[in-house]
Amino acid sequence: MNQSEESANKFEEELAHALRRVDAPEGFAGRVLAAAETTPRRAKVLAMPRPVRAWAGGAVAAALLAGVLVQREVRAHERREQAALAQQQFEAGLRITDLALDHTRQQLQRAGVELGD
Amino acid sequence: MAFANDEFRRLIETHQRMVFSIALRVTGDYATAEEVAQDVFLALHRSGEKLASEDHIRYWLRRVAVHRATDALRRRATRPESGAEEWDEDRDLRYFEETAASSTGVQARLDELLRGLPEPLRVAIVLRYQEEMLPEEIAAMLGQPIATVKSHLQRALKLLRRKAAVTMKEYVRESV
Repeated sequence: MNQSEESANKFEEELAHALRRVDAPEGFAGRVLAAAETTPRRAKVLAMPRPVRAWAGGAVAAALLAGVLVQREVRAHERREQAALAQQQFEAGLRITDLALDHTRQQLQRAGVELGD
Repeated sequence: MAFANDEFRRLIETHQRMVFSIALRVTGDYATAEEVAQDVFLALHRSGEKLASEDHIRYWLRRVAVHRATDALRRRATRPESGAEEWDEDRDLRYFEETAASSTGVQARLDELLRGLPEPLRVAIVLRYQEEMLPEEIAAMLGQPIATVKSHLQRALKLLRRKAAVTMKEYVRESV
């Protein structure tokens, strides 16, 4: 080792010695603990793992789409039921009208009134 | 899992010298260093649940301390650093002649010389000689190429030795 290298090594040793860690100020830990008590902890975000996040978006979109389709189907089903009910009521009305007309026709025949076709 | 108070106190007591020393040597200011160190531990408290092992905590504290200290240094910007490598020998000589009587020795002077280094060189020196980290470890922590770290260390040592040779009688006869 030549003189220049020795000198460099000595300097590095001095530097490492000079840069030893120093003590934190008196009462430092207490002050940090007090500050931690008064500082509200940041609200914990329930972060999903990256792979879960990747398909979760797709799953939410699929669920929304399914919801829309189901709602549309329910409405169509309700409309079909209402139409069927109206049809039944119409047919019942017709039957009642037919019966009433038959009854009236029989009474008129009994009374000797001739009815055309 | 969040830190219990006892666990957090233990972590502060274990690592406060490291965190405070990094902050002090990088910022060069005692009050700013305490502020930075507090900030680092409060950040640890907030994110405690993410840090698993003791090694991970030490690594995290070192990295955050360096970043927060350099941020504080940039905010303060009381020391113009752009021309720090264009050193004014006369100015520092006058400073050392004036403060020689109150000097606490070679170590205190080296510490003082460190404060005159540009920020990236100072950070490299602190991590290498205070924290005894290898250049590879420094490069990984700072996210820099190892060649950059080695170059910073060489330039910093050269500059420090040159300053020391001029301002400190212990190094006047040393080769630079």
